[in-house]
Amino acid sequence: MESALPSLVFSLVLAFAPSDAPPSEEAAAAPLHERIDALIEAPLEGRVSPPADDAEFLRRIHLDLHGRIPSQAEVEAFLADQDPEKRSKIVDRLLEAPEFALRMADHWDLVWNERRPDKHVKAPHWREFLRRAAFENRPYDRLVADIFAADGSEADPVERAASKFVLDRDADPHVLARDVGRLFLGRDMQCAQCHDHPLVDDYKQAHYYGLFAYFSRSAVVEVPGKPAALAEKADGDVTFASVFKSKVTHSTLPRVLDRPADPEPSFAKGDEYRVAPGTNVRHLPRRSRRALLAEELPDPEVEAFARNGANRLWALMMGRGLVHPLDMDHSDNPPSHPEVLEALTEEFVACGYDVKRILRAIANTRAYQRSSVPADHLSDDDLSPERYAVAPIAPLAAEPFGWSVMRALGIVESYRSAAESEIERDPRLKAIFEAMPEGEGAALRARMVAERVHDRLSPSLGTFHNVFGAAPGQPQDASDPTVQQALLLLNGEPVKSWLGTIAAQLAPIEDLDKLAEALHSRILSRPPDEQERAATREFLENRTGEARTAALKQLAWALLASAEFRHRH
Amino acid sequence: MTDPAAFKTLSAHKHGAQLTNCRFDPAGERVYAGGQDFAVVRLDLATGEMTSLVAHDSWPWAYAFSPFEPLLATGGYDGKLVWWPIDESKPVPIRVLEAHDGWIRSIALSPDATRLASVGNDGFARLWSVRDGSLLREWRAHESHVYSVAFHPNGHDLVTGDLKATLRHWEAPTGKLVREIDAAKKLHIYDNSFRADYGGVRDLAFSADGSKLAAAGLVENSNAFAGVNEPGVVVLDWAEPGSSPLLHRANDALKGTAWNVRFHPDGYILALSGGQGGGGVLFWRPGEERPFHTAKLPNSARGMDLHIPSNKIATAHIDSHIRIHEIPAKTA
Amino acid sequence: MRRCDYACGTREHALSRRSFLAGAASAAAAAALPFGGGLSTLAQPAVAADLQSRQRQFLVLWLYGGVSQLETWDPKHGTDTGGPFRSIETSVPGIRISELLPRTAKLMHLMTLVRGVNTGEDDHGRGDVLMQTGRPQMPGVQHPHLGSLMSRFLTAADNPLPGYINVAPYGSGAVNAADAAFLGPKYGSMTLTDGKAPANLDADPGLEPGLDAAREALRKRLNERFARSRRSALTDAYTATYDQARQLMERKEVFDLSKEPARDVERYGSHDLGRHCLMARRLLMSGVTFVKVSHTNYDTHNENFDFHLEQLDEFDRPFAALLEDLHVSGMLEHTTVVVKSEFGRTPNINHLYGRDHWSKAWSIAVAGAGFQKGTVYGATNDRGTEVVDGQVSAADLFHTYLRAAGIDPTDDYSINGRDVQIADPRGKAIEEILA
Repeated sequence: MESALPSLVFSLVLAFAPSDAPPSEEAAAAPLHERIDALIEAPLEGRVSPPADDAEFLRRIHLDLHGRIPSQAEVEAFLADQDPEKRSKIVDRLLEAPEFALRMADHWDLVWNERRPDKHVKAPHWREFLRRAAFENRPYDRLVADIFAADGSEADPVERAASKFVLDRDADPHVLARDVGRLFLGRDMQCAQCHDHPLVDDYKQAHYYGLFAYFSRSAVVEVPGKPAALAEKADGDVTFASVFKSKVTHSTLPRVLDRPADPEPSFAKGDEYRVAPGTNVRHLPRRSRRALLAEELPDPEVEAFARNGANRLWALMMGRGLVHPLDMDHSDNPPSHPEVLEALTEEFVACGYDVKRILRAIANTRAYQRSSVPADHLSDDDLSPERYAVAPIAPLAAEPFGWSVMRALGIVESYRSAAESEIERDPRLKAIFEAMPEGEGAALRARMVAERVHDRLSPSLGTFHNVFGAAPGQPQDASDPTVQQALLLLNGEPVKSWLGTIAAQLAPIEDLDKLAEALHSRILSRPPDEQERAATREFLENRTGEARTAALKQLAWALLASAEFRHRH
Repeated sequence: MTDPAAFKTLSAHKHGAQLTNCRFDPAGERVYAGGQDFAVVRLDLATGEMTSLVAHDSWPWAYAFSPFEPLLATGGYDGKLVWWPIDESKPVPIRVLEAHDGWIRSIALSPDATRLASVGNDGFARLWSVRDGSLLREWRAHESHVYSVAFHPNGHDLVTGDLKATLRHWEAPTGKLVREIDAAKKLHIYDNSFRADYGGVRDLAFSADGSKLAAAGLVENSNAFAGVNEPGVVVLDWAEPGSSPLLHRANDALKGTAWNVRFHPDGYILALSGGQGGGGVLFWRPGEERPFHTAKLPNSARGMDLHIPSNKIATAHIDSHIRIHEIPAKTA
Repeated sequence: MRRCDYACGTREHALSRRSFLAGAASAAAAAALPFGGGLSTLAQPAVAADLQSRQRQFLVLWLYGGVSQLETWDPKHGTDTGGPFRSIETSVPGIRISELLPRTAKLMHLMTLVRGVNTGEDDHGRGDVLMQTGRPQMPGVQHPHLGSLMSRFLTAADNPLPGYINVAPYGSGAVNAADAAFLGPKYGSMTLTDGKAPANLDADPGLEPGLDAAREALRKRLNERFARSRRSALTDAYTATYDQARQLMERKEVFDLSKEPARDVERYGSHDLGRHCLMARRLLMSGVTFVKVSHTNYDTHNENFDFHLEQLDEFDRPFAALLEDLHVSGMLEHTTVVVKSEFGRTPNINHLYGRDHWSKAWSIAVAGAGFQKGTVYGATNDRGTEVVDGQVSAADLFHTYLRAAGIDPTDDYSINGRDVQIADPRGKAIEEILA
């Protein structure tokens, strides 16, 4: 998006709006993170693992908020910092960094688009739409509303991109009913398409068709000379019958779960359309059923909406949902901690769907900051992940793993310096920065650097998507180990070339102790212990010149291939 | 002059099974169609009487008439060539030949009615003596399934077309390959997602003077296994096939396959389209890509023949009917 | 060191199986065969005898899209549903199959046909789940594929090769961990895209062996350090993938089809499925537990007859060659073979000369270890529209496959403390066709 400078400047004005604006009603009550901890720890009666050490915490918070491990400099600075508040401060700092917005844009893309190949909306426009939203910390309910309000006719391609969710599903009402249920309401109601769900009492066929009805009149049209957009008929009612009781037919207006449907206004014959159907026109009714969803889905009356949003933010930080799986929210699969989910949901609504605020609260809990080392006094049952007595250990998903490899091997930092000096040398940009109010110029500069690094390195993630990612259209939240992954790290590109980069960067460090520290901080985000220092010496002693560089590459490889690097812990 | 825009259906005649293909006898008095019950169905146009000719052990598919004697040859999926004395009330085969290993897709009689050419899934072209049924010559004509064969009006040239839409021009007396013609290749695709060849030359027809060759089939395939394709007819210059062959196509993205093609003496070309878009007869003027008229049929069809000079058209349908139509003369 | 090796609730823990695991663990190691290729090594009695004492193996031919039972195992020539193709005699008097399978027909004495299959699922995706897992698809619930089960229960612990290999014309080339469900990614299917070896099997020639050994030793030490405090099934699985990768690199010839004799390439055919079936032979001979060869595509809503002619011509030749080779080498004694699809195709012939999805009355074919030979079980009516004898479900078939491979389908897994039967309890094995 390097060419999008004017829009960047514009959106930056909206960008760094402080997210910790007015506190919610119960200012007197204990802060959310404390209430969460009380609820989680009550049943555990002290049987919890101790807090993570600083290095463990720093690595985890970077992975969760920026989608990659910290840099060597960040590790060293944090470990040296004596401030007792340094953990909550780093949470704040990471949330305000441009890398967080980029990470959230990628995150929503994966969650909502599930690596579908492009159909009607180009990925760069869609990413820019998500980025703008993330940079201004657009409230979650508004972001979702934007997605369903757009119809593909918007002149600005980035605004138009909001319609990707519907357009790239070809406006198929069945696919959309299922995905809106799954991704925004936490309910996979596919089985309710043909009858009330056989196993889940809460999932009704009427719920499925209520969502279906928002989309059943819509279709993708391509008027010559214009990009694909959504058209909608003014008629066509949704009726459904159970395959078990096919004689009883029901009909439904568009409605979200049990929220009452708004009555439909009736129009005089001939007046139902704003644009009547015809050849090469995009017909539009006076009242769009689809557009209603933009208001009715994020409606506070639809508790499932806020609840699913809150649960997904929890899962982003904690590795699993309070309701888990994320799209199986029903009474036979209750949340592990109903009151936590309730408190989180309430806060999410009360603070105006402020994503940063919720993530910050979670990051500040003891539950989040616990060590992943199980304490000895924990029982087997205590170790169940849904108790949160110990931090989970999980393989990194494809993107965070790929980004972490690139950071560990010095690729991110070298792209970063290149981007920085490029921007530094550009007099046009310099003038822009200087003309901006105090702080804003620096923020824009930081954002431009981050975006250049992100966009230039994103293509390198391709290999990691292929080898570590799940299939398109599948949830992309984890990556189980496979032999192909090991083969890629053992023998494959680009890892092989990148090892040359880190070796070249570190080779000038003569002192082997310092070298061990640099290597471990970079790759494992922690200082080496005595044995590891010894191992470094053993590896490199008596080697000089090219032989030393060759050994340094393989030393870095061993750290990179370790289970410690592969997992979030 | 005839007026295709005035195309009208005269009658419909029901058989007991779905029909595949059909052909007029030279006099235009009877129509023969292939049934999925393995019968060759004979329809007498004057009386409407239908008679089943039974000898094939599978679907009959290919037809050839002698213009000089009451003789019909048929070929089928069973690889058999059957010779029928068609003037009899209950024809019994004169001769049954195990002609091909696998489905006979097409047969053609030489203009002098002395030789019968047949092609089949075994890749062979064979020439038979009409007089005694003896095999005169055989050769491996194509590597893939051979879909069609036609004699040039000069009686010397023979052309075959296959699944890959390759046309080959042979010297009929010797079986020698004269040339391979790529001009109809658009009628074939290899569907990558399904990993199979699809399309092929479904029918071949020469213009009366032998200057043009038409190859019928399908184009614009987007999903082979659902039959999402459009009919296509390639017309090429026999002397110079490579010089600007024209692909005739349907209007309004009509879905289907062109199963048969004919040259009309009035100068236009007609083809039958059947498939996803139902049945239709398409009429093109020479040199024009799109048809000047499309006559919609009441049911999807799989076979068509044109009789001259009566200007009648017969079509064979999935709903088990043979339908007879007419291209009336232009009114002043 | 913690008293519990694994954090509870992890996959490995969920699999503390009650009984037969002990048997599988003590199964004889897969003897590494020489890589000469061809059948010569197997023709020697000593090698063949050794093979018989080896692990059970399994081969699935997956005819993707839904092959027509009427153009294969249950022809109805001469009826309105039968289509144009005729039936032919097979090597077993009285059993006739479609003329599109002339080579396979000659091997019918090695096979058993199941003609009364009624699976009641006409959707590709759900039919796929049903036929691969023996259970209907349910949201939020995943059960392992047959291949993952076989890989888990039949593969000796010291067999370096992946237990479940899918040879397919296309695919990402990645391991599909989802196939294994709760068994864990190790038992997912590894796809050999277009029958080609997995990527990155070649070691960097510039890497000196001493350094390679040193980096490997250091990696292990780091993992031990990590495992001292944070051992879990997943971290163990991850560290194990490197050992598996190195073993694969050492045995990369397993995936090298150029080692096969030219006459076999000729016999199997040089087309995709020919090469893929030859690869399957090579993999089975090398000791891979479960090989699935996918042939695409049979979803013939249009031109069913033309396409079956094409596809089955591709299938008949290499399938017959492979079955014959497994027989001649003695491998069929411990290798089970199944030919199946998501479902069959309608007896009704539609207006496009096509046949549509049809799960109510269709057929599968089996051969080899655990099965009777030269028999037919079940029957459909004259027009093939209904099962009239020996009706079996997808669950019944799944039970039967497991039994044929020596696994008790009624045994239980323990998942999070809940016992779940390996095969769907609604099914039962077809005793009549088991040896």
